[in-house]
Amino acid sequence: MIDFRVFSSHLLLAGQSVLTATVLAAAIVLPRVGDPVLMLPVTRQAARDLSGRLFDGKTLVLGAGPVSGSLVIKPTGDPAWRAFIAMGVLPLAYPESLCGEPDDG
Amino acid sequence: MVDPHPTIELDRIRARGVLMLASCSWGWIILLGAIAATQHYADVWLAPALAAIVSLPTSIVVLSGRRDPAVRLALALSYAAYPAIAVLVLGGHAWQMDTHLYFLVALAAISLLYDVWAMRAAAGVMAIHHVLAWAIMPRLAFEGGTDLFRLMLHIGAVVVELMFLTMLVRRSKLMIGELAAARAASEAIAADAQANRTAAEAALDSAAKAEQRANGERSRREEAEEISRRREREQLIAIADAFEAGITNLAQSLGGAADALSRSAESLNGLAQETDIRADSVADVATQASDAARAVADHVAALSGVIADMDDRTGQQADHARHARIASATGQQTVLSLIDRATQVEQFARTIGDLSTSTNLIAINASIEAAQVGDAGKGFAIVAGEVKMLAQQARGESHKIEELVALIRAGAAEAEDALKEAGIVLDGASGTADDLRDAMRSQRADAEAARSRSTDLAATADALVEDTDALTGWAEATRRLSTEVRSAATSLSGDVSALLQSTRAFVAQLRAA
Repeated sequence: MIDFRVFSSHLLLAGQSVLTATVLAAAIVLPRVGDPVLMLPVTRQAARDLSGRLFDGKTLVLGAGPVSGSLVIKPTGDPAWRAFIAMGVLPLAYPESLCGEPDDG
Repeated sequence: MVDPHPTIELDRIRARGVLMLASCSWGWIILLGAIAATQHYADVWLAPALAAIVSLPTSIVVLSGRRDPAVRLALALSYAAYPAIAVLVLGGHAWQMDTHLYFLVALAAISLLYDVWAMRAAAGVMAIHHVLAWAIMPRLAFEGGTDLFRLMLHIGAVVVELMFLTMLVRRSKLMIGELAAARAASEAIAADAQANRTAAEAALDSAAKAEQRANGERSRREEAEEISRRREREQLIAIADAFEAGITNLAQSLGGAADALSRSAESLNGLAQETDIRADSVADVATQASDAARAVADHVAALSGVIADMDDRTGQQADHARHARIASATGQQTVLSLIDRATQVEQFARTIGDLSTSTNLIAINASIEAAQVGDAGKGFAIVAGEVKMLAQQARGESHKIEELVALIRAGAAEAEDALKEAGIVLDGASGTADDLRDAMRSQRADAEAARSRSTDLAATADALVEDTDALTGWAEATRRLSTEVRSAATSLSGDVSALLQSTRAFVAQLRAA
């Protein structure tokens, strides 16, 4: 069994700070049910696949995102976020303060 | 970051807080999972996973036993994240914003760590999280849109709560410090009390041992005293027995002595009476002796005269005895002459006897011859017979003469003997007479002495009479004294009996004690 008492306090605090910051950030950026979601592709292929995947009639696309290839959507059902993540698309809560109000039309 | 006043109690409370919050972390995880399961959140496991991720480091170090300030700070940071995850899970729900209250709950829970720095860190993280959420996702943070005042209201609530919680924690720490000091003081007092108790117990133990030794010593002393008392009592009883025996013997001896004394007194009394009587008799006898002594003196004087006369007569008798001795010697010579003459006569008688014998033989021969002659010789035979008869007569006469001579000789011998004896007797008589004369002379001197002694005896008898009178007085005194002695002996017998009874009662009490 590993004796975790050998971990220094600084290492513990640094790790805990990183994790806390990560979780708090995730709590901010992860999409919420009923709210607009910024679909941010991390690759060009992901951007191409995203368009084909979103226009399936189940997702309401509100508009283009602030980043090229990104889209702002509003899920109507149970979105398969993992599938999007597997495609290389990060579903993020839409930051309206940074991107303005999404265009529903 | 380091608490300037750490105490053991505070560390202990903080350790319990760490353990409690670490345990509750997993409660948060389960709660968030449950909330997510009830919501239409896309990924049910996301919220519990986030909570687990943020809880994992603190849980590991807490399970490893660490309770240091870094752990508390890390735990506070993890608690600052849980409400945010709840807000995330309840996104789109009507109660989403109500979940903000759990930031305050989390901050209050962090106060269980009694670490202001942890509380500040958690409050800071919460504030930053709100500011970022307000800045990035205004609608997310505050339903209804961006409102700086609402943000400040929330932050103010956190700050105010932080202030109060800080005050509460500080006061609690002070109280804990005071309690710790009081506890330390009480522990010191308790230690002192324990030390005193130990000392008291040691003292009690020593006292108990001392008491035990004292009890043992007391028991031994009591046993020794009991043995000593028993021995003393035995010795006392032995002494009492000896005393009783001695007193009994003494009493018996005294009783016997008293009886003997009484009897002696009685005897002495009797002797005194008899002495009185005898003294009277002695006085009479002494008087008579005095008279007799005087008479004896007189008689002795007369006897002296008689003795003098006898002395003269004895002298005469001695002279007569000497004369008789001389006569006796003369008669003895005469008897000796008579014996010589008788011897001569005897010789004549023997000659005659020889002649008669020869004549008888001749007569016999003549008879025999006459016989041989026959008738012629008858005459001759007659003459021979006559001659024979004469010879026999002569022989007979000679025998008679010899017998007479023998008688004479015997008588002479007896006379000689008688004369010899008479001479001896006369010699003795002469000596006796001389002795008698000497004795008479001595008797005469003795008589004179006896007369003198008789006179002295008379005087002594007179003195004896006087002494007898004194003796009579003494006998009277002795009689009175013997009476007193007998009374004293009787009293002594009574005292001895009383002494014996008292001794027996004393010894009986002594034995019963």
